[in-house]
Amino acid sequence: MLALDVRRPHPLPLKLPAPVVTEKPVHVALEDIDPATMPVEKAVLGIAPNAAPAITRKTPAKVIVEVEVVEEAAEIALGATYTFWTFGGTVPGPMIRVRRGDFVEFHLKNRPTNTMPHNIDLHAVTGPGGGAASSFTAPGHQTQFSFRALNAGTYIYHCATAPVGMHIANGMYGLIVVEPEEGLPKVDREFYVVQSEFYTPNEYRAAGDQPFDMQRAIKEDASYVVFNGKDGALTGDNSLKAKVGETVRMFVGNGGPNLVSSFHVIGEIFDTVREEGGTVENHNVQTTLIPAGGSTVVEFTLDVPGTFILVDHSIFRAFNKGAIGLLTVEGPEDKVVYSGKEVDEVYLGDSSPSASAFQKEALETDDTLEARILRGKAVYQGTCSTCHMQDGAGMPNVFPPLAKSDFLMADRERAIGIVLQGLTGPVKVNGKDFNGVMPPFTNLTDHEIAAVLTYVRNSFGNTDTNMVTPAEVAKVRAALPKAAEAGRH
Amino acid sequence: MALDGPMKTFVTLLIVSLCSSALASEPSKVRIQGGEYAPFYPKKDGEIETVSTFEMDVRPVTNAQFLSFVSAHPKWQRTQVKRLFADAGYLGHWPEDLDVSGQEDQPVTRVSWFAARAYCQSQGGRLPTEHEWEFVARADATHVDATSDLRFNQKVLEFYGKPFRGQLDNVGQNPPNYWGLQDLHGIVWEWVEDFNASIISSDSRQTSDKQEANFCGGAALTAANTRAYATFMRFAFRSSLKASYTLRNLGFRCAYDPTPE
Repeated sequence: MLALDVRRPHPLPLKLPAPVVTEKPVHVALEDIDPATMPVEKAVLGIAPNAAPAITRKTPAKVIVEVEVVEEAAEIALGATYTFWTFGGTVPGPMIRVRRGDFVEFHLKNRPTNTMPHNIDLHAVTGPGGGAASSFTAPGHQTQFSFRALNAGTYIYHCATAPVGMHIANGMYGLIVVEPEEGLPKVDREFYVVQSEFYTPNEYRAAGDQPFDMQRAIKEDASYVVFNGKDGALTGDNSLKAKVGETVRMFVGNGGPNLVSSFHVIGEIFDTVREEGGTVENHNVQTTLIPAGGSTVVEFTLDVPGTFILVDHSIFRAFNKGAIGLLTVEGPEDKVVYSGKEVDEVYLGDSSPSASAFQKEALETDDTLEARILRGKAVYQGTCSTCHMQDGAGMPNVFPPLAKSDFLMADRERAIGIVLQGLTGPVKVNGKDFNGVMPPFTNLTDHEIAAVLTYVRNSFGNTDTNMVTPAEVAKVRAALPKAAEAGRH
Repeated sequence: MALDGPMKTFVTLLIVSLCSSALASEPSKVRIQGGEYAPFYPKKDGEIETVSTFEMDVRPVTNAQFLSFVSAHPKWQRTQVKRLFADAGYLGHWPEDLDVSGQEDQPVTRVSWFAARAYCQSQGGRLPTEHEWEFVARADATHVDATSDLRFNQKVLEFYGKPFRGQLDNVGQNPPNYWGLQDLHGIVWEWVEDFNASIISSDSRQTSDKQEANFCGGAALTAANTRAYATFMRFAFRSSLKASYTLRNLGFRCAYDPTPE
């Protein structure tokens, strides 16, 4: 075999983010504040899939957050309803965004027509229960508590009223982002996505009113695993949209209640992942884990147009339970970054049973020139094109061309012999010298060799309507030394 | 001619009694044979509580019944009640102090613990204790204790999972349970005498182990049966209350010490 180094230079590094060394202490001391005299503002909430707007302030403020708990039936899939318990009437609840050092005054309102008491445990809160005890609210009442955002990061919040699993399973979660003092790097577009699962007695997309199924929840046997609270929340008309050239940031939470997400966007590589919503940045990540009751922040630049697919790469969840979302990107193509489909043609593996069956059938049913050329093309694709190339051009100085090849066309018996025995040593093809090694292809049958030679002698600018026949091949094979007679007949 | 004062009350009561006639012929309370049961939040492992024999209203108290009570006890009328004893939502679904039009046979709600207690006293009874209420709430139609039956649990859960649909159902339409009691599950929550006994009220910022036990995984540390989600929800619900609270989906029924046989 020819020793050949076919490695080529690595494609240009398009965008390699500078390595980030996070050596600064997690806790830079915060200035003292006096909540009574701080500037006050009302939080602007983000309703999924829209993120809350970035914080532009450079100083701390007292931020008022008001959220109403709503229990109501809504569509979980086309034709299927579920009684959701929600923060703010949506699943996930609103995205809250503050700045590290802010003083947050939280108001939780429990709608009078609700059946259940509720509360909120924000993972961004430092304090017992994360606010749960202080926000415990009967239907028709409201409560208030305050906390200081001590740690920057992207945090889940959820209802923590017993039985907590059921409150979460019914839709009570969302994200609160605490931006670092210096803010997050500017991007062109931000999205807010939360994965979660639902447990119903019937299977995914079963029609009608679907109640919570406690047994399936305990078994962690979800009927739905979805983004943003329902089947199809991010597909079709609801797809996320962006443009080529834009940098996108997704705040992605996982409400659980049980499953860990293997979050992946098909067709993209995360340039940056803020791991688990914290401070550590990872780069060039394909799939990132999001714990139940956790988050991640992913950022990537869109180089080419098309549809990119958000999935939980625990992939049956995507195909059978709804864990799928679409990001539709418009803009000009870049064929260097991504070519699109260049080849799509028949491939028959050398020895797969189906290929053999196909060939056997073909032997018995055709003997026209066209049919033999077609079968020969299939053999060529699987065997010869690796060196002689799809277009028969070969590779200069390495692999001789078959296209318009004087050497090939001059002697059909020699051609049969070369396929059967291989060829080693100097040859002159179309005036060019080659000195390499072609291995013997004794694994090919007489019929296959007849077909492939008929194909190459009628392709790439060659013409010879006089087909090479299996009988011709058999004759050449019979004349070979014994060692070469391993072919199947 | 517009009716005012006592005359209107009289007419209303007359209508109420006519509307309620279907229920009037049935027994209004039943005897509950006492027994042992394992409380949901035992004070120590394996604790068995003994519930003494008592009597209990078959159905939740209705708006019509409560109207009779406030007519006889004006200090419990909506415009006269002291804020200390009932919050601003008290009887808020009644058009007027002595008007329950159209809601006669629905369970009375938006009543505070104080008001519910006063009603039961006026009937010679009292509010059931949490143990008494939970003791009888375990029963389905044929078993004293159906809490290990998944279908029973699921059914109760589904009631709790449903939000308010604008109108409460009339009492007495669901089949009676083993004890002959109706509507323990299915229409409203119910006050009990010691609603905040198991769990310390959580309006305080001060926390205790007991209070912590209500949230997140903590709830599972102390509960006897971590799969009894419906029971979890009742305890969580009760612990969200204060005695003056009035809720649209919270009513009550009375219990009585047993009459000598």
